[in-house]
Amino acid sequence: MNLQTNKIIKSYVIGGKPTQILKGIDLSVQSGEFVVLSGKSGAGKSTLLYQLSLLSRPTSGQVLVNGIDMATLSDAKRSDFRLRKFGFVFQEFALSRDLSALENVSLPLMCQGVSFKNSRQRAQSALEAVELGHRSDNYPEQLSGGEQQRVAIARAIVTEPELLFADEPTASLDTKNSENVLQIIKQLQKKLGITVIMITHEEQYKTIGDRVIELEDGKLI
Amino acid sequence: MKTLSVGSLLACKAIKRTSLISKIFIIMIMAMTFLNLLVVRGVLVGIPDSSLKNVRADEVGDVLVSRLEGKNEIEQSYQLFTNLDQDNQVAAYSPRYRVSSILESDYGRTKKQTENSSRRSVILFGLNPEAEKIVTGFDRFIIDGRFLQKGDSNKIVLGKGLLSNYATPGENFTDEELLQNVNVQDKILVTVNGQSTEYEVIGISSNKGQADNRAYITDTQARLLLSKTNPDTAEIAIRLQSGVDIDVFADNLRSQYGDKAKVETYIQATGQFLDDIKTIFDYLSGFIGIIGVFIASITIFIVIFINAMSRKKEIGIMRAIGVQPGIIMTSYIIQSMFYAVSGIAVALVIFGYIIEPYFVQNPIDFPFTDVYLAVDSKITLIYVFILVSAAFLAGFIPSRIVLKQKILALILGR
Ligand SMILES: Nc1ncnc2c1ncn2[C@@H]1O[C@H](COP(=O)(O)OP(=O)(O)OP(=O)(O)O)[C@@H](O)[C@H]1O
Ligand SMILES: [Mg+2]
Repeated sequence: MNLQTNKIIKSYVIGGKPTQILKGIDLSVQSGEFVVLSGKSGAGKSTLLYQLSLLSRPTSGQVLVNGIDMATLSDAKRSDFRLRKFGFVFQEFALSRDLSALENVSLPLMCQGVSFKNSRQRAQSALEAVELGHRSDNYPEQLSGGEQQRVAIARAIVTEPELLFADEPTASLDTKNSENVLQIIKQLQKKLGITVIMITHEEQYKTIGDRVIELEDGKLI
Repeated sequence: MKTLSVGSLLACKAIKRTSLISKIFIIMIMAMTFLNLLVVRGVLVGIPDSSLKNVRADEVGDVLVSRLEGKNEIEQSYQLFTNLDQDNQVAAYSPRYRVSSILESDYGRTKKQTENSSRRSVILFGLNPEAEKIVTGFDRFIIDGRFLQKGDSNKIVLGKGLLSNYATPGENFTDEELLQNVNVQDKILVTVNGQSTEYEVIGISSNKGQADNRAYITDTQARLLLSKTNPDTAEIAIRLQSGVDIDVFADNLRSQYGDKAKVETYIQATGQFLDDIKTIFDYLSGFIGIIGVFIASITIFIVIFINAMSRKKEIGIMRAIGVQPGIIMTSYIIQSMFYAVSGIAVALVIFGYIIEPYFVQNPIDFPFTDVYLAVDSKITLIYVFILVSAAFLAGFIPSRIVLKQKILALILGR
């Protein structure tokens, strides 16, 4: 899946006046690429990721996925797009506290209409891929931060997405867990051939990707 | 289909993960609300309803035929009897005579001493004991002694409200004097048209209604007292076979005998007002109930709302990864319905197995009737429907409020 942007501008009204957070981003990500998005805090990394991953609509400019302008899609279509084509890993371990690890991972499959049994089988393999096959019945509160983040990764890849978005997936983890999580993402990217766009502002992890994009004050440098 | 199955899975998990105490608490609130609905209505509507039922069972039968205003009796009653005898809709009927009389007790002692005898005027009802037993089961009302039998001569049954030895103060209130010192087997003096005869009191009757204040003799005796040559009676209580439409039957009879007698259903005979009161109380209890339903809905609403608000981030993430809003909403509606339906189920069990049987065993002791809880399965169903709909809204609205927010606002709490 290739992703392209055309002069993305995003402004928010801050203190009564509209302020541009993204000031015309032109970006192109090739299928299978691992792109690291980097920059200072407040540079607009997350904001850019939200536009790319269809969680927000840019004020102007276009996001093109395989040449299709995403602005033309309805909210429901964009939601379906995220469900079927994208995977998400957030900074904090964004699992549902009422669902076990296995149920959290099988949720997106069930929402795609995959049968209950089939969803669970695939979720179990996804958990095994992040070395948590034995913890499938545990609830989020019974898992450590690193384990929760691995469950979140399993949930992101269980649908075999074409594009994985990760917003500082290691921010809440210690060094050992951070490296572990990044290794898993890297391996999955290689094995499944998915495109990855990951934000990190930690220097030592930038090298994990194929390419680093630096963002400064809403512009690429 | 997918929305429903995934939604209910999420709901099940959420319910399972809610603490037992909270669950019991919420279900109890729902159960109490529903019980409140049933019991308030049951008692309110039960008062006129029980009165109506009792009057029907104990006094007037299903249809009451009585003399026209200004007449002493139903003219050409024999025609009516023949007709009723042949009508297979009629289970039984009891003709009743009315004889004005003055009853007097203590008259023996008065002669010796200077005190007054005690006397009062009373209408004597002349009954066919066998027919009356079938129509009203009159022997049930005998609280002392026995009921009349065919062939009884100069025997009388007195309502307990006529007698100082039996009347309950406050319950059998009357302006007229009570007959003093009368017990079963005593003699009293019965005066009809200036002719006095001694009667033996063979039984005392009470049914919290007319049987408390009337006196009863056999039909043969009444005919003798009235020196009657024809069988015309003052009233006829008719018991119909079950399933016969009472209104239709009464209308029919009225069209044939309307010029000779007054034909009324038990509701008309009791006075339409009891039926009207029933309707008014139905509305009143409905109104009180709606307040309860409102409070219960608010309770569920708050529970669901707090739940949804505390899971804003989770809901945002679910939306981000593509979980359809309908699934999330369904999950909240099902949770809400679960609490409502469980509450209703608990309430129905408590009501059906504890409260209702209790009231059957221990009806509320009203002065004029024993009140049972009025239960109407159709109205209960309406209440179930109202409460379930309210619960639906209590699940729908909070999830709707949360789902209307932007995904990023939910995730980031902005
Ligand atoms: N909804 C919003 N309303 C107003 N301002 C916003 C909103 N979202 C983001 N901003 C502002 O936009 C700027 C960029 O935010 P963004 O979260 O994209 O930065 P970032 O590069 O991800 O920073 P960090 O490394 O701290 O996560 C910040 O100054 C932020 O306050
Ligand atoms: Mg950020």
